[in-house]
Amino acid sequence: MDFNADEIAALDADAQRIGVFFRLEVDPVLRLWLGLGPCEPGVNTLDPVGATYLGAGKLLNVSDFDHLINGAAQRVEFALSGVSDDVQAQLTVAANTVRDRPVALGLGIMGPDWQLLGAVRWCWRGYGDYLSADRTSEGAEAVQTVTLSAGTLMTGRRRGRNAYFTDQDQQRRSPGDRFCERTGLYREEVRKVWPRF
Amino acid sequence: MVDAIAFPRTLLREQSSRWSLRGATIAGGQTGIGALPRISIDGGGTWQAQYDGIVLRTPDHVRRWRQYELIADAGVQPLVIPMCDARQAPQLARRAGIPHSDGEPFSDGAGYSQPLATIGVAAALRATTVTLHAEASDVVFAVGQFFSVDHLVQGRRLYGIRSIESQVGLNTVVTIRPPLRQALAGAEAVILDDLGCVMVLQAPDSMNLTLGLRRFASPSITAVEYFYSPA
Repeated sequence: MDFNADEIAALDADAQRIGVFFRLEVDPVLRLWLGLGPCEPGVNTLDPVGATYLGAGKLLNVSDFDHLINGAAQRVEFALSGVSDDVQAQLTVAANTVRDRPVALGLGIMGPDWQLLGAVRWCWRGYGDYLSADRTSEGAEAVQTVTLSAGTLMTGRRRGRNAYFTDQDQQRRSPGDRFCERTGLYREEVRKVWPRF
Repeated sequence: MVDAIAFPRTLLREQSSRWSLRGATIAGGQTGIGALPRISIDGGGTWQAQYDGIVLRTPDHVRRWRQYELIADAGVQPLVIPMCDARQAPQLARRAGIPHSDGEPFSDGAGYSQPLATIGVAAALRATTVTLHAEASDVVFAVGQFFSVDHLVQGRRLYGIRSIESQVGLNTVVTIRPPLRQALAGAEAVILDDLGCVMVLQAPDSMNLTLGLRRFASPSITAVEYFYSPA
């Protein structure tokens, strides 16, 4: 993820303008961004000829996400507007087909004039799992949201995979391999004794 | 696509009004040296209009308000909310209508009208720099001034002039906020005397009317900008 000089200068400032882009590869592709109004971020690795991303509250929230560490890749949930006609139309059609469809979350750095300084950087890629609808009441108004749960290739609903850097997991992966046999000694609580000569 | 319905100016005799660009920012808290790092993720902000203490004193006023409360459909129907900003708009001499080629006006004495200014150069979606072309020398653009443009899909939108970059002849290059809601091909009319923006009520009960002594009311209205899906 190489940033150009303009982007680095913008990120170096005290206040940054950042566009958050969401892409779900159903048919047709659902493209949303956290800003207001439609946005055409131009060519990037996932949109080779460019595309329009819909804004204005259609993408409500993006949760924090981590990359795979110690086999614990969390799920990422995207809250989408439950009443927006175009989002609703696409998700209704796509409800049965989101599973295993590619999901991407990207960042675009904007300058002081709200123009993108470079292409959208897709910093998280995963796969759709399921959609769930939620309806809450806020005063006199009911608020309906649709949540897309997504995970990475390493996220599963089955038992944990052998992804820890422990000797047990390493033996299951590669029987006889000794690469991780001493990792147990690197726990915080272990006191390292200075060797006696 | 639901066409926006113009909200009548006759109902907007308010005691106070506010048009503001709302944004979404994330702050990281104040640092030890007093800096306040902040990230903006709204893409340039969206208009919110608030009119308070609207004066309704006659049965006509009350009936008209009720009519538009019903038209607004609890915030489902987009409305073109007018911005009453004549005091800050350029003060222009009254234009005579343009007659037919034979020099005669229409039978009621009116002539053709033409915009006071147009978009001089095509501009892309989300552009923040546009060229305004004045159709007459007394049309002068100033910072802090508002103008509207009728977009093909997004309808009437409101823009504010943030700075004037250059002025050559009748062409003025200005920076605006918010970013353009739709690309402009050029030659679109720049509306200076009938400002407005396509909006919906912020809350379903934003236009509820409470009558005092069964006659008078001072309701408020709060609306937020509405976006159509691109065609």
